[in-house]
Amino acid sequence: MTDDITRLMRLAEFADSAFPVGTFSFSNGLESAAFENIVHDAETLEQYTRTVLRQTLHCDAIAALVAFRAAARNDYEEIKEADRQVILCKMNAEARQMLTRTGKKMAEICTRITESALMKRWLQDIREQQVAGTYPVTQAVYFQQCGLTEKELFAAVEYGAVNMVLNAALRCVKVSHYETQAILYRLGAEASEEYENIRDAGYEDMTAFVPEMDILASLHEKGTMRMFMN
Amino acid sequence: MKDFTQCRELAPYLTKTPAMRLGAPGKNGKLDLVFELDPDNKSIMRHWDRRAPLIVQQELYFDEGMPEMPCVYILSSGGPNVDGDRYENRFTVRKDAYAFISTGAATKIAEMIYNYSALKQTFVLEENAYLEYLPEATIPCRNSRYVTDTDIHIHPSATLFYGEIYTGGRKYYKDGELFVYDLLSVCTRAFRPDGTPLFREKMVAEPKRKSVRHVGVMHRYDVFANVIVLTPEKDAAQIYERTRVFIDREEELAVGITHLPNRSGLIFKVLGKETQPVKRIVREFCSAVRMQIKGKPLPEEFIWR
Repeated sequence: MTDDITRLMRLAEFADSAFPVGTFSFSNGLESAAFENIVHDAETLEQYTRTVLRQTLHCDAIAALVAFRAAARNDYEEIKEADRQVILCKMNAEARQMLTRTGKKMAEICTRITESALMKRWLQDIREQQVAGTYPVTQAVYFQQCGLTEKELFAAVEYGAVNMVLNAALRCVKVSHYETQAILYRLGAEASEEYENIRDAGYEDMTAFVPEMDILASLHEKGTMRMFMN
Repeated sequence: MKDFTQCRELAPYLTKTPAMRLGAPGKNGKLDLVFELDPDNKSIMRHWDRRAPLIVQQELYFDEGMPEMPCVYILSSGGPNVDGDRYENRFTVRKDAYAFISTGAATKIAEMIYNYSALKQTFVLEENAYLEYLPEATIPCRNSRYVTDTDIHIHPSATLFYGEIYTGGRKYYKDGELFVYDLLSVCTRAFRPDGTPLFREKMVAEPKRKSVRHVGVMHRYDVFANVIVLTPEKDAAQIYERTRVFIDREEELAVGITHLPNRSGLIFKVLGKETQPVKRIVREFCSAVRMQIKGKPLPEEFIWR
């Protein structure tokens, strides 16, 4: 059993936007939303962030929780299935690219800094293209291997999605650090309820209904504007 | 029929209808249509099985852009989908055959009190088959609950154009109804003939629980089209290249396209304020797909449609 302080240190490290998996280079479509003046202030930014979060929780977080439990019982086939389900449910090509790039990066870092047979096997399968190696599933496996809890994983998935958008917003939307932190604080207060909503969900419950965001991502995919990868 | 009661989002709507029992005649529509080439290589509707309130009649060949295309309109003698209605469609297009399927009018989902209305669909496209499935819009009225579940089994050489349009409700009824329905749940899965899954998209909108007016969801738009094009990769690449994506603030239209998972095709989305401009964009896109696959465009839409 990993003690509380160590677990919190691990959580702070792996959830930090400075953890070098490259999330800082993605904006989840915010760049196009800002360019089109759809997101232009703190209020519209909060709405957009909530939309990104909703999509993350009802897809990535569900798969992450399934994969975490599978890792705990050493059920490798279920981990692979969770990974496959993430790809099947990601309609947007750039989103799939983001999740597989950051997932592979995370697996590489994890195998460099710790000894985990499961992570080694996972990275090898990513490299051999046996699995896609999506970020939420890789994150789930590593959190479980490091002795972190399921709730801590959920917090990291939620924090990662929100923080990616808010950090990007500081570079392309007219908002202040105070406003982005206030959004993060408000959303954080709702995370516990969100966890209860999805904790028992399975693959069939993985959903997304974000048509405007999908179109913005498509504009970015076909466009030439590139401050962010998405 | 799929057991929809397992869907989490339907949990609050499982009370049995007191007036007419679930599954009663007239509440359980069914269609089974099979298209194939006849000995003269003409694509025909070889088999059709129908159960009220769904109706189809003999195929017609009215498409001036592709006069050899059998066209079928699905009608419902019951009017709108009402509380507790269940529908099941199975469409099969055999090797090298082609067809066009639409509905005679918009599908209205009537106000509900106890239960929900569900549609289970299965599409089977064999080698080199081609199907355009382009129904009129679905209109979910106040307090309605509508769930659809679609499975597509498609050969890698076949092409399916699957276009759905959902409005926010009866926009011009009384003071206007927009996004006052209880639930809209739309799930679409695709597989290769050997069972390999290609993608799974499930969209759930519960406007009374979570606003769909947020930036990134429906925002300022009232009508949404979701078009799936399953087609060989080389054709998908060309269609993708030729398709323009844009946000037009004057016309209040937004259009996007991206590649589906597992190189299975494309997904094209349109948002608009009114149904007609969205329909026009979807038809233009369908025409581009037909041009790529069959070398022929879609004709002008009938003026009464």
